[in-house]
Amino acid sequence: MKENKLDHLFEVARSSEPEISNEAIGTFVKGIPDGQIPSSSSLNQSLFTSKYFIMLSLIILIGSFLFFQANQIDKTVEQSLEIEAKTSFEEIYIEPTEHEIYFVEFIREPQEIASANIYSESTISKLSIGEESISESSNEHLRKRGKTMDEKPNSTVKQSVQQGAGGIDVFPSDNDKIKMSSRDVIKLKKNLYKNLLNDDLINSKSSHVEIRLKERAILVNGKELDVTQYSKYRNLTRDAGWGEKRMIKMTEKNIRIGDFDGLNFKGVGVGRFFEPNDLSDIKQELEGKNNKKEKAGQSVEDLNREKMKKELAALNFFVDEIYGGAAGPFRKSFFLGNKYNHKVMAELHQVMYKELIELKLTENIQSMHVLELKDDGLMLNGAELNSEDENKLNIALSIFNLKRKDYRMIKMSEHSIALGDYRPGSFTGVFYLMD
Amino acid sequence: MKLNPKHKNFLEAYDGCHDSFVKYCSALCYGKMNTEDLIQDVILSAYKNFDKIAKKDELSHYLIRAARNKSISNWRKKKPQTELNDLSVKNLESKYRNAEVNLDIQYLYKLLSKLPETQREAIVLFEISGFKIKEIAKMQESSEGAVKTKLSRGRQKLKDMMKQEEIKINDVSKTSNQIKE
Repeated sequence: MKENKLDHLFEVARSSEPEISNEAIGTFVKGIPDGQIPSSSSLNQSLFTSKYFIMLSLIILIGSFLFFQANQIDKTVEQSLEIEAKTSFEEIYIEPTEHEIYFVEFIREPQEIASANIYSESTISKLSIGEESISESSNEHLRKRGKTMDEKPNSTVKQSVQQGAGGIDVFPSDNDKIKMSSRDVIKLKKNLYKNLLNDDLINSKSSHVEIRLKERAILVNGKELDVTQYSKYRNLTRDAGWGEKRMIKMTEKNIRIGDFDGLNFKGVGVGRFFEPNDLSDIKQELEGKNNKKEKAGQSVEDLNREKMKKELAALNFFVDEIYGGAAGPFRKSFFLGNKYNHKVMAELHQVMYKELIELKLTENIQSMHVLELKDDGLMLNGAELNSEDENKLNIALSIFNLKRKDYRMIKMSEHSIALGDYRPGSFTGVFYLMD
Repeated sequence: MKLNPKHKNFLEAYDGCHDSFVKYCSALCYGKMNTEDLIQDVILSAYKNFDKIAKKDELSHYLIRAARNKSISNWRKKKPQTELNDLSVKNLESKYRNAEVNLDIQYLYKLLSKLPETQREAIVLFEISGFKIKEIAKMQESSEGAVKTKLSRGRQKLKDMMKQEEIKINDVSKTSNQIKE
């Protein structure tokens, strides 16, 4: 009997349809770009261990150094810089094609992505979304320093953010300023995790930690510390200061220290907020390195990439605030991407915002939203919807044949939309800019 | 869309391996990782190395080995997470409309996930993916005799597990009957 039952189970598994159809694989393979696609490991090898690459880099570095020393500032370069500096963002910005977007969800290797200041999604959206801030900062950057922007990729992000803040000091000014270098912040994070684990205040090093630094109390994940622990952690976090809104929020991959006011944040932070996953994009990255650098300023692709990074970061911060670290690093899903391409997602973006405004679930198009497509109902920004609103949103969503899953969500900002599945440690789906 | 020769050749070679490869990945990933992610990574890797694969008719061997290695490195990086069990169930539910088939497959995959790795692989490849013992021996770099042993021991363990589950179910029904009385 058992034998038969087991054979029956094997027979069922053997004769059933496979989980993914051959057509889906076919479409996916057809979407793979031609040429050599370096895998992440081979990329690392070729980048970091290849003697050829290291030698070549050295020659280029020495050559360029000698050239600049000898000629001071070359007139032609100066001219081209001036021309580029006058070029506004709008002039060089081209609508991103679907192909570009498809392979752009790559963020650089784990170098310090945010050793600069970290900002709330509202700040970031204001800053990153406004093309003017990018163009202004790039122009300023070029005029003042006379360097190309792609020499220092992070400087654009940093500068646009600082200027976009309207010249206001980004550090909290009430209590005391947080004067901590990236190294101090990293050290503090390490110390905190170590001590919190020792004191059984958290279960593991990957726990999401929220420490409230009030004037007369310290709360770790909502739990107030006793007198002994209070003095210990007050000492540890001395550099972070204290205040009614002062908090330290950290996950395995990042840390933010500052004043949290609702969804707004002012302070400092260090960490990784997304990871490289898309091989094809790595290929583009490599090709970019091999090609001649543009004379001055970033290429359109770089600007798009910067913009996507900021949009993704803003969305992640927003989701992180609601679910406490639910966003995870972004991972491109080709299977989802085949069906939900840029065009379809642009329609979804338009329809959803229209519905949300009509149902008065959002005040304006600038607000960010996360819509969970759960099996048993929709949830907007972590809250349940009333049945009437849910029905109307369901009707709107039905046009797009979106499958319901407990882990599936739509994340939207004015300029971007992401659709995908949250799984422990990652968000797998599609992400597009809407401009 | 016009296919380039590499796409065409790859898809031609892949066509024959699809069923066995996807089913192998489904069984391998159950409760541990996402099947689509694994398939995506393996296909990309196979496509990249396609020119280097000498015997194109043995693409399935490459795919199986790559899936196994990839899954092992993934599990090393992050330990299996319980939430993925629910996820696997949901995924299977959405793929197989027939509730009975769905239950059977879930039950089998769950049992298989409790077997030692080499036995599970041998059983999945032989019973579900339909490979011959000779081919499995080549993939696992072992002898045909060793594969047969793994199959036999694996089957025996599955039967034992089923027996134990049945005993548990009988106990529960007995208790509930007693409560009713």
